[in-house]
Order: sequence, then structure tokens, then C-alpha cells
Amino acid sequence: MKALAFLVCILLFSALSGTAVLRVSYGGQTNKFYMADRLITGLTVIVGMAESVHLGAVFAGYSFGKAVHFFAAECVFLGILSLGILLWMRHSRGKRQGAGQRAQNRSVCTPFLFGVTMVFVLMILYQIVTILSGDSVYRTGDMTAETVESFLQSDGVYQVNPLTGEAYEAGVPLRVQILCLPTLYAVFCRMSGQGAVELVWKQVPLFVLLMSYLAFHSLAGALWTKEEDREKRMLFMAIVSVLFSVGDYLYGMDGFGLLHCGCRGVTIRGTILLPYVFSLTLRHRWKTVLFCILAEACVVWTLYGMGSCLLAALGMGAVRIWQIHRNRGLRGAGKEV
Amino acid sequence: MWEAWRHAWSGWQGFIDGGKLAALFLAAEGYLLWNGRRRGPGRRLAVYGGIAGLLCIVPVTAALLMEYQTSFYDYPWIWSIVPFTALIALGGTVFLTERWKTGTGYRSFVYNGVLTLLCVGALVLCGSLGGRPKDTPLYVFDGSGETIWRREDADAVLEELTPLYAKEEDGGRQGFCLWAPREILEYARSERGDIRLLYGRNMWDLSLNAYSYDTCSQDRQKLYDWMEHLTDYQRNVGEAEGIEYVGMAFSLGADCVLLPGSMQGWNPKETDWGQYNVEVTDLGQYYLLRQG
Repeated sequence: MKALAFLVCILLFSALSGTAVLRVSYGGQTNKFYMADRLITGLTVIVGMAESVHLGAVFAGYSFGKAVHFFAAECVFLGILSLGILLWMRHSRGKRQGAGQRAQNRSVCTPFLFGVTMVFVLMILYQIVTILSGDSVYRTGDMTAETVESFLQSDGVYQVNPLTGEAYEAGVPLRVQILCLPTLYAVFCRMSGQGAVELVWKQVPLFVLLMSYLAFHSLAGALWTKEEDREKRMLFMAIVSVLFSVGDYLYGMDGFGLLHCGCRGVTIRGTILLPYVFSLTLRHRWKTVLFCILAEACVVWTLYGMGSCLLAALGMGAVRIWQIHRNRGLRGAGKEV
Repeated sequence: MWEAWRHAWSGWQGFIDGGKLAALFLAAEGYLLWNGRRRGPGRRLAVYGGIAGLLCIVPVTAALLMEYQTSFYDYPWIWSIVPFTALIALGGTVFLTERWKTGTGYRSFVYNGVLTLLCVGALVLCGSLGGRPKDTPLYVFDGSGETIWRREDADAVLEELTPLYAKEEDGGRQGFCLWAPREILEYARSERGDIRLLYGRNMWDLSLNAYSYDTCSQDRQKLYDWMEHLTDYQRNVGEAEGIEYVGMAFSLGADCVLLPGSMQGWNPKETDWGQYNVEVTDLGQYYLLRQG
């Protein structure tokens, strides 16, 4: 129950901070964003906050307890700031689609839509049961739970070797030191009063699963923008859910990451940040891509910030420019575009 | 460089070995790109996915991408730049919605149903069919045969140790230092952060060595090798070697030692420990050894 309440708080904070960031970035165009956009942008804000306290603890050397206090203070400060921004810019929300029209569009439920939704729901239930069983965790090459537990026990960030509990003899590589996920999870453990194993192996993967579906929902919205394409969007989501379930056979696949190692940075990148980057670039929302690039640099070791999100955004941008030039060329030749 | 190319090529072969979703991805790509009339965001994503997929398959570019993502991560992770799941789902959606027959008649109903089932079948057959890989299970010899060891089993043993050390302190640090078989150490640090170990999981999961510059001493390596072969078939453990290795563990800082109860040839309870002053408790599946 406590975990659920904590999850709701995280989601509320994500929605609040994400909405504020989108409002500042895009002004009156925020009505064109989904709730998924707000939550995922809010998630990148949380990752940024965790990175700041993590770097402070690693390089300034303050205790983990202080890091938790700093994180809580950042949450309060950013929460108030977000509220202030939303109140200040409340007149620039943009014109919303009529509620009656939206309700009318949504009330039509065809047998096809019902069937596809059932498949989608069944797949999600299977995935939730798999994650909550706790037996499906793939631990090879991963020591997140040990690292979180060592932060909690030693009241310090990388003060002891997580695998033995003894002080480091030769130290930790820089690439490990700058990644903030263990600190974020440890802060969540301290705030919610849960154990590391419970949070890292069950609750975080569930949260990542939820966020991943939101990212793919946002992508579906970018691929089919018209209201009458609702069935296509639902079919897309159903196929994604089946792929997550049957595509868990290989380390590196999206399904494998979500069902067996949801706490890892590469999973967050592959199943949340990258689908969201594709969604943003298809909708030409380039400013928010920057948040994804920065969030990736905080959770995955990249070539000094040049990770997959940047490469994907550059690639999508290049394809867009090529398409524009090609269309101009076709128009110049008098062909139909 | 040649080594990097070979690594990239073997990575691609491994990528298509376990399941066939890569084939489904190529089929979806082909279908989406084949119809040149299609425009819009889907087309753009398909063009990008095609180029990115090609870069990941060709060994030269794959090796460059592996350099770009830093050598810390292995081949499968370069595929993260390819919208793999999204493109298969997009291809499936476009294929089905374009091929479905409109109308409410019996024929179109059957046709649409069969087509959908074929697509779902292709998805499932190209996937794992539930045979997902897990960590290699740990087997423990319990005297009569081998059984699979679970996290709960390790937790139960660790719970038995807790009362013995709950109030003790070691040089100002709470907790205790444990030396035990792998099946206990595997979960000890994630379950109980106050337990210290003579060596960690990186002893058998070598990929974990990437997270630290620390190395393991030869003595600790010897202790690991000895402990993991105590229950080998027809192995008789001698009393002298038992005393030697347990003594070495205590001298390296261990507070308590767990030895498998199923080992042959030596009973720690009936041993004269002499200078070490060891107290032995029978926990059923394990002997608990503590210095008095």
C-alpha cells in the first residue's frame, strides 16, 4: 500500500513537472501533447534531479542521508516552481478539442476494437505476473540490488564495494561513478521504506513497463494522428504488447529488458527514451529530445553524452531533410507528391 | 580492426540464432518500403529503420557503432538505435489494415480471422514461445541428489545466522563477514547489506569485474576453488585440509563459515580445532563454524 502511494506521488510529480517543462518549451502548443508526454518528460526531470544529488555525493563526498534530503528539497522546489509556471502561463494553454466531441469519438467500441484491447490487456497481465513473480530476474552482469543495498547500509555512495561490503582497494571506474540510477533507487527505498530487492527487482520494472507503454502510445499517436485511426493505434499497441511477451528470448531485446532486467539503464533507454525520441522527432518536437539525450547520459554510459538518443534524433532529422528535398525535386519535375 | 569486424559479424549471427524476430523485422521493413506511394511519419520511420538496421548488420559499420556506444556494452545494444519493436508493430498494423476485407459478410469475417491468426502465429513462432532464458540455475547436492537452489533458500539460511550476530560489532562496524558456498553468497549482499563477504559474485560472474578496479587475491581464489568442489562426486575431504582452509578464511577476516553438510570424508563437528577454537553448529544442510 505504501509502495502504491509512493508510485502515485512519483507519477503526480512527473505529470506536474513534465507539464511545466512542456509549457515553457512549447507555450500554447501543449494541447497537442498526450499525458504520456508529460509523464515521460517528468521522468527525465526526476533523472536529472537524481543525477545532481548523485554527483554531489560522489564528488563532494557528502553522505547518502544528505543526498536523500537534497533530493527531497529539489522535489519540493521543483514542484512549487512547476505550479508557479503553470499558474503564470495558464492563459497560453491553447484551444482544446471539445470534450463532447472527444467523448463521442471514444464511445464507439467496435467488436474489433474490443478484441484487440482484450489481447493487449491479457499481455500486460502476463507481463505484470512475470515481473512480480521475482523468478524472472536476469542477474548476470548486473549488481544494481547490491549497490542500492550498500548505499543504504553504508550511508554513502560508493563507499564500499557492493559485491563484498569491504572498502574499495583500487576504486570505481568513472563510467560507473557518474551513472545515477543506483542512487535514485536507493533514495526511493529510503523515502518509501522498502527493501532494495523489492524495489529494484519488482517495482522499478513495473514502473518501466508502464512508462514504456506510454512511450509506445505516444509513438502510435505520432504515426496515426487522426481520431478515426484509433483502431490502428490500438492494433499497434496490441502487437507491441505481444512482441514484448514473445520477444524476450535474447539479451538486448526490448521484451527481454522489460521482463527480466527492467531496472537497468539500457532498458530505460531502449524501451522508454528511444521510442519517445522517435515519437518526438516524427511530430517535430525537437526541444524535448534534448531532455531524452541528457537523461540517457545519466543512466547509460555514453560517448560523453553522445548516445543512442542523439544518433536516433540525428538520423530522423537527416531522413526528414532528405524527404523535404526529394519532395521539392518531385514538385519541380511536375510530379504528384 | 579485423577482430572488431569479426566480433560484429558473430554478434549478428548470435542475434538471429535464438529467435527469428530479426527476420520479421526485415519482412516488415520490406513491406513498408515496398509500397513507395505511402507517405507520412510511418514512411519516415521505415526509411530511418532500414538504414539503421543496415548499419547494424554490415560488420564494418556495426564495428564503428560498437566503438560509438563504447566498448562497455556488447553487440546487441547497438540495435537500440533501430526502432525494432516499433517497426514490426507498424508493419503488422499496416499489413493487416490494408489486407483486411471490408464488409460484414461471412466470407470477409473468415478471411479476416484467418489472416489475423496467421499474423499472430508468425509473431509467436518467431519469438520465444515462453522459453525465455534465465540465469543458469544453481544446483545444490543435498546428499540424495541435486536440487535447484532458489533465492528463498539462501534467505532462509541467512535468517538463521542473523540472531547469532544481531548484537555483535566488529571494529565499530555492524554485521559480520561470511564465507560460504556460492548458492548462499549469490544472494547475500542483495538481501542483507550488513553481511560482508571474503569474495563477491564477480568470482563466478566475470562481467561484474567491469564495475570495479579491485582484484581478488590468490588466497581468496583458492578458498573459492576449494569451497566449490567440496561436494564433487566421490570427493573425500581430508581433515587437515579442512582445518587449513577454514583457518585461512578466519585469518582473512571471516567471522563465520558455512560448509555444506553433504560433503564426504570429514565431519567438522568431530574435529579437534586446536588453536582456532572453533564452535561448530549443525544447521541441517550446512555446518556453521564460528571462532569462539
